[in-house]
Amino acid sequence: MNKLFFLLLILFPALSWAYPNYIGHSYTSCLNCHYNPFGNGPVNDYGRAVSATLISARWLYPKTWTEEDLAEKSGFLFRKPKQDWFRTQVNYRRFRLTRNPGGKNQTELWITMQADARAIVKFGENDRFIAVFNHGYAPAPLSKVSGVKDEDTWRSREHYVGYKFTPKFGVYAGLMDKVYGIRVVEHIAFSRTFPQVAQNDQTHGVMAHFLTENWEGGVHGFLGNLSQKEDLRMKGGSTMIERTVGGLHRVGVSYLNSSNLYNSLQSYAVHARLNLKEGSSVIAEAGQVSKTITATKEKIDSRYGLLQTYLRPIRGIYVFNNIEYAKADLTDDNYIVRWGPGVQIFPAQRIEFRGDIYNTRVFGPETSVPDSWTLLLQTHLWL
Amino acid sequence: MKVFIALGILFLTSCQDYNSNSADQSRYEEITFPPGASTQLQTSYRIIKDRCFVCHSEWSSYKTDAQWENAGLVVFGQASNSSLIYRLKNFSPPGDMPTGAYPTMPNSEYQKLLDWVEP
Repeated sequence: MNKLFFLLLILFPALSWAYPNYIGHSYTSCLNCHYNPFGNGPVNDYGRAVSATLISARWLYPKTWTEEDLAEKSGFLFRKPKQDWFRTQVNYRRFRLTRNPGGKNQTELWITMQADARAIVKFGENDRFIAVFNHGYAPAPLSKVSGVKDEDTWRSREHYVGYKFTPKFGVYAGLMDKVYGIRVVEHIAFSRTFPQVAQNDQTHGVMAHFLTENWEGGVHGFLGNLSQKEDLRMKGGSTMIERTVGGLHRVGVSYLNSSNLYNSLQSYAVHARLNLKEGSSVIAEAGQVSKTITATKEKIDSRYGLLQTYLRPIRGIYVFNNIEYAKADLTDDNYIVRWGPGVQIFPAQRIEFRGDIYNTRVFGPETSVPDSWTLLLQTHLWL
Repeated sequence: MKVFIALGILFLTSCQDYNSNSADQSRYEEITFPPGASTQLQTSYRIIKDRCFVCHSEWSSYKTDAQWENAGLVVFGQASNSSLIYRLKNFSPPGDMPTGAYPTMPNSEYQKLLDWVEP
């Protein structure tokens, strides 16, 4: 299976990546560029062209190439597709993780974060019917948890079918990310881990999406990931609604309720995505999570916050700042603040370099713990 | 035809378990203690199970106060002489436990361990 995957990786080119901060380019809805109306997963033809002509720089191209040339070369084998019903994409992401850089306890790890092959089948006017398949690599956790056996690291990231009854209303069924909050790419963000909507938390379910002139949202009912043991599957539902403000910005609310045999989770969040124009943006989310342990009836309330600013000084470069807050237990005095500036560089289509440095600090009246520092240098390639 | 075969392979080869809930059974399942086990012991055991057993699985059989003391991990009434406590980052430098992405266990959990060792 892995050999087939790598064959696809080599033969079939992939499309560019898109992020929630692209509201800074006036894309309020993820549906503009993605097959999944709430983002993540494969990017459609329009998204490919946007990536090639707006996001990525032209430093490596001949000056004679027009923007239209770039858009056409964003497709399969660097040309416009010859048919409308089938697309493929691949992504590869690897980074170097350095803990305590410059310190006497410095450690370094090389991690392959992502290696996905994707296939999209689509029919009908405006791609009314779609079937999406996304298979790839998920690295094993660095910190093992007691009682959890090693599992296969190759998995289906998502597989679903969708049907748009109108261009503004569609229903999707299969394995997808849960509809909740902002799908930031930083999967370790507290806004992703606390409500359990991180990179491996896809669920089997049915999702409805709607879009009007000023509103967008969805409702998602799910049964958990059916490849997991039944007692672990988180079953429930979620919803997210956004409103366009001033024609440029989005504000929204989310709610999620899920449970398995061992615990139940309720999450609430508010968020905002603000367009600062010319590719710059601000993203913020704040939420509260209540977890109840079935065996002990113990209830733990947690709170999290996220603030990201993205500035685009020139095409192809984004400078960002990431500030997070987490209080794992509201009855506790301790809380965590994580601060992480960074830079993304897209020198050309299909190439991204990213560097982040994170400082994590624990605050508490009776706690004295040194800050932890982490340096991440990432390469992201898509053919 | 080949496309559909490939799609079928992609669709059918899904087998995974790592996600936010992979450890729920281990972390939250019902635990049976011997008669007479105090509430503080039971609470502390759950915390130690969650934070420490990943590396110290040999401690999982210690379900009485006597077992923890006989193992040399706890001296009841003396937190500063209990390695289970003074090795924690919460206690003070040079405490270095637990290891992992977060620098320290929540203070609420640390306090519960203290309440058990020094009631």
